[in-house]
Amino acid sequence: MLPTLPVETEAFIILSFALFTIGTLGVLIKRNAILVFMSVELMLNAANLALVAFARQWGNLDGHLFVFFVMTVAAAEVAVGLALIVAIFRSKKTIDIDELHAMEG
Amino acid sequence: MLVFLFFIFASVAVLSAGLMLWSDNAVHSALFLILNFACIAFFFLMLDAPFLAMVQIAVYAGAIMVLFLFVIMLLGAEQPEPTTRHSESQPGSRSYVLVAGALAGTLLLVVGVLLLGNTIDVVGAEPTPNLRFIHASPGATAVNVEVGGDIVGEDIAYGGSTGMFELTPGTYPVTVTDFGTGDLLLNSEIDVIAPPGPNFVTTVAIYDTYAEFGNTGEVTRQLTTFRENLNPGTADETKLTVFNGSNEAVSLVDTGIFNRDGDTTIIRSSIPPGEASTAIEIAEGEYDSLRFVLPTEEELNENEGVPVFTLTTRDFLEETNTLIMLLEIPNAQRPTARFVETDTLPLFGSPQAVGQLLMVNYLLPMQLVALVLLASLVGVILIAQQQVSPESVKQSAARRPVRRRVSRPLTSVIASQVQADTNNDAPRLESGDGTQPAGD
Repeated sequence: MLPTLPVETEAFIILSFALFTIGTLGVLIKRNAILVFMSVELMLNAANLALVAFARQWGNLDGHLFVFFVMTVAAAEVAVGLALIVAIFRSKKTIDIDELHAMEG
Repeated sequence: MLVFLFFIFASVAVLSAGLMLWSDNAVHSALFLILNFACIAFFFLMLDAPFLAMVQIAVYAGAIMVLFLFVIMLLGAEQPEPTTRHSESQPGSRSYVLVAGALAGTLLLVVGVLLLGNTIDVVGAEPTPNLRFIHASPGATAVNVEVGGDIVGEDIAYGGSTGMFELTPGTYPVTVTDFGTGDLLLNSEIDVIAPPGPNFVTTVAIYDTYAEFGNTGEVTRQLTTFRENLNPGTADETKLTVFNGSNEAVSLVDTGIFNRDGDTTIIRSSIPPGEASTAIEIAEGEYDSLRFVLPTEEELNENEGVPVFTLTTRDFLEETNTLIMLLEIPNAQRPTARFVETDTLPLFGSPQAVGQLLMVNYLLPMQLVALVLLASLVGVILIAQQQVSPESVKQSAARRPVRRRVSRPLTSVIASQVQADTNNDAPRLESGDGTQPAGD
C-alpha cells in the first residue's frame, strides 16, 4: 500500500463536496447559459477530485482511468454544448436561459 | 508542510469557485475557473497522480476553457447582464437564489458533519498471491507443471518460467511431469500464503540436490518457494533476487577486478543454501565483475574470497528484477547460474502505469469513448454550420451596394489612346438574380 498522506482522504472529500455544491448553485442561479456550462464543468472536476482521492487511498488505479474517461467525455460535451449555444444565439440573439423557455424555432 | 499547502490551495479553489459565480463579467468567471482547475491540478499532484495533473492542465485549462473564452468573445457575452430584465422584476425571483443557497448550505453542513463524525475504514482487501514456477532442474529437459489438477505450464524449458497466475492462499498439490515422455518427475505440495504487500510474485523453483560430492549420486528434486519484489524501485536502479541452489552458503560480491579498484564490495553476504535473498537494489548498468564467493570473513576482507561462480558480463536494465539462480549441475564440482528477468511495475499514477492499465483492461471503454469523441466532432461541425436559405441570400444580395459603373480594363484604355482594336471581352460572373457584380 502507498504511504498515508498527512492530509486525510476525508479532507479531500469535503473539498470536493464544497466545489460540487458551488457548482450546483451556479447551475441553479445563473442566467447566462455559458456560466451554467462552466458550473457543470466545476461539478465534474469536483467528482474527479473525489475519484482520485479514493484511488490513492485504496492504491487502485481504476479511479485514475475513470477520471480520464470523465475528462474526455466532458471535453466532447463542452464542444457540443457550446456549438448548440452558438446556433441558438444565431437565431434567438440571446443566451439568457430565462428567455429560452419555449422549444420553438 | 503539506497540510499547510493543502489548506492554502483548498481555500484558493473554493474562493475562485465562489468568485466565478459572483462576478458579472463572463471572462472574469472563465479566468477564475481556470484558477480553480490549476488548484485541482495541484491536488492531483499531491495525490500521486502526475499523469492526471498534466492532462487536467492540458485538456481542461488548455482546451476546454479556451473554447469557452472563444465562444464568450464570439457571442459578445462579456458585457455584464443588464439588471433590468423582465425575469428579475418578477416577484419571487430573489427568493430562488435564497432557496438554492439554503439548500446547498444544508447539504454541505450535513455531509460535513457525517464525514467528520465517522472515518473511512482503511481495511483493504489482502492482495491475492501471484504465483509462478521456474524450471531450475538441469536433469529434466522440458516439463509440464500442474497445480491442484490444473496445468499451469507446458513445455517449460530449463531456466524458463511459467506465466503468472493467481491462487488463493492454501495448500496445493503440485505435479511435475516430463513434457516429452510424460514421466512423473515430482509430486509435492506447496503452501501459498499472502504476500506482505502488493506487487510481489511468489516464485516456486524446481531444483535438484545431489547426495554425493561432485554432484553424483542420488538426485533429490524438490520445490522451494520464495518471493520476488516487483514494486517500482528508485530511479536508475535495478533489482536482483538471488536464489542459492547450491550446497553451501554464498555471498554475491563485486570484485572490481576489471576496474582495477581492487576493492571488493559485498552486495549480499551469506545467502543460505536452498534459500533466496530479498530484493537487492544496485545501480543499473553493465557489470563484468560479479562473483559468487564463499563467505569467509578474512578471505573477503583480503580480497581473496573463494570463488564459487563468476558471472560473465551482463547488462542489468533498470525497472527489471533479475532472478539469479545458482544451481548444481550433474557431474560437476561447481554450480552454474541461470537468469530470469521480470519487469518491475511502474510507479503508481505514472503515465506508464495508467497507460498499461488502459491498454490491457480498459481497451474497450477507450475505443467507445473515442467513438463518442468522433461523433461529437461531427455533430459540432454540423451544428455550427450556418444554414443557407434562399431568402437570406436574396436579402443579403439586396442589401449589398451594387456599382452600376463597370470600369474598363486597362487594355481597352490603352487601345483607345493608340486607336487600335482590342478584344474588350472581360469574363463576367453569371448572377442569378440580375444584379451586376461590383468591380471588374
